[in-house]
Amino acid sequence: MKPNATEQEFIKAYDQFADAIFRHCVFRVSDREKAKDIAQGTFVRVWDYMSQGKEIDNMRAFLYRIANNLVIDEYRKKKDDSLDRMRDEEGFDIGFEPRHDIENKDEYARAQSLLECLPDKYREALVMRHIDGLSVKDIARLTHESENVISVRIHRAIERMQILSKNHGTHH
Amino acid sequence: MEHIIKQLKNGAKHTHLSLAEKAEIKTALLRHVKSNPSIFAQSAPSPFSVNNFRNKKGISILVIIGLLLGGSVSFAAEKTVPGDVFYPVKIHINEQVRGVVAVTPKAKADWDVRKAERRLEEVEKLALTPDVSQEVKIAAEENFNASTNKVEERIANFEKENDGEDAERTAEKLADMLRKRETAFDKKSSKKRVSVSDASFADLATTTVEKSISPDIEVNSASIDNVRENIRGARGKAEQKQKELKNKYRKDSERKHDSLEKDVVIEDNSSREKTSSGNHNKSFYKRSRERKEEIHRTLDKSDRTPNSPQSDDAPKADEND
Repeated sequence: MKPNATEQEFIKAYDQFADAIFRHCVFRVSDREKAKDIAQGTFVRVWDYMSQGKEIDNMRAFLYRIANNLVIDEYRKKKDDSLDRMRDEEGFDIGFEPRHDIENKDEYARAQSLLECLPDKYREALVMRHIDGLSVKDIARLTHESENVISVRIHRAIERMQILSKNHGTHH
Repeated sequence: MEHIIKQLKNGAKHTHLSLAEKAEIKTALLRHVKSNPSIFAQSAPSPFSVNNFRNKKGISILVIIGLLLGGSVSFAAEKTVPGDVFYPVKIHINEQVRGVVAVTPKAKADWDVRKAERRLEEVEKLALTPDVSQEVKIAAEENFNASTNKVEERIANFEKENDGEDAERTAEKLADMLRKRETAFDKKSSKKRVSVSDASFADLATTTVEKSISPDIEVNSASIDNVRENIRGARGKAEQKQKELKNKYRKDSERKHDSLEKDVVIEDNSSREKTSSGNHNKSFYKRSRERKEEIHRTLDKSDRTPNSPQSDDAPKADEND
């Protein structure tokens, strides 16, 4: 059966954005397998939406919004399981050592580890801005926050990572 | 600070799905797509889809085609006669649109005369065209009669409103139009008859064609005579109406004129009284005196005697000014 126009549009969106969505998920959940699942779930939801005949104006923004919602769901699941994560959500303790093996990782892995130590909202803003390359305006729209709030979150996220890095001697 | 961001960005560059992973997810997704097909089983989106407002090119092409098509249909419809496909366009669109422009009763009456002329043109055209069914011809004649009736209604309305000038003008216009069309039709039909008879003479040599032409000639001449009679009847009626209106309004105007003259006489008397008290100017007094003299010439001498002292008062008015 020849795929119809909606299917073609969907497949095109997958080919174009699969890697970007997966990357976003990896940097948000720090788990490749989970990131794969979330990316797949994102596209499943997109299809469910499209198959109802609804139009999507901006596919990229739509995909990030769904992926972000799924990541938040994932955090919630984790939050139920982990008291540590709960503490991160409430306020980050600078003296807290996030990973014991932080010095043993290479630069990228160390940066990833530092990212994991950030509260979800800071992490979300930082990943969207510097990994996904979204503008502050787009992030504000996706997260339903003001541009000012997003700018502050990005700034604080970087600040905290810097402090963490200094504390563990990873800053060069 | 920038160093950490750089590290993250570098890491991000190398983070992607492997080909196998990508294919695996794609297969799973396609399976999902197959099991949950779109409820809107669309084919390729039409370039003219009006729902898609981003498709400006398609919409503009559609609008241009629509305008061109509409314009050419409307133009083509102008030459149609009853029985043609586009005839309803002529009646219900072209004429309605043109009729909207006519706002005043006068303009409406003019447009009705023009419509009657258009209906008559159709009748003439059908009469001069062979192989036209009798029903169509009758329908066209009925249309023409209805349109002249409409004009007559307009005239009657003008009469009701005591607008003699417009009633007379409309009746004159209708009569003029019918007269012109009658002459033109006479010319056209005589030409047609000559050409048809020429053709029949030429065809007489070939006996096979003779039979097929002769019934047409009969049909044509019968319908031409019929139309001529119809126009003549309508023209006669219109001229009669015009004459009636002329007589009626001429009498009215004469009556009005007489009453006006009497008014002037009365006015003169009163003005004389006023001028004696020094309220009137010289020009008005002069004018009234001239009119009065004119009336006096036509009226009986005995009627003039009570007004005779007026001449003595005139210099008084001059002195006042």
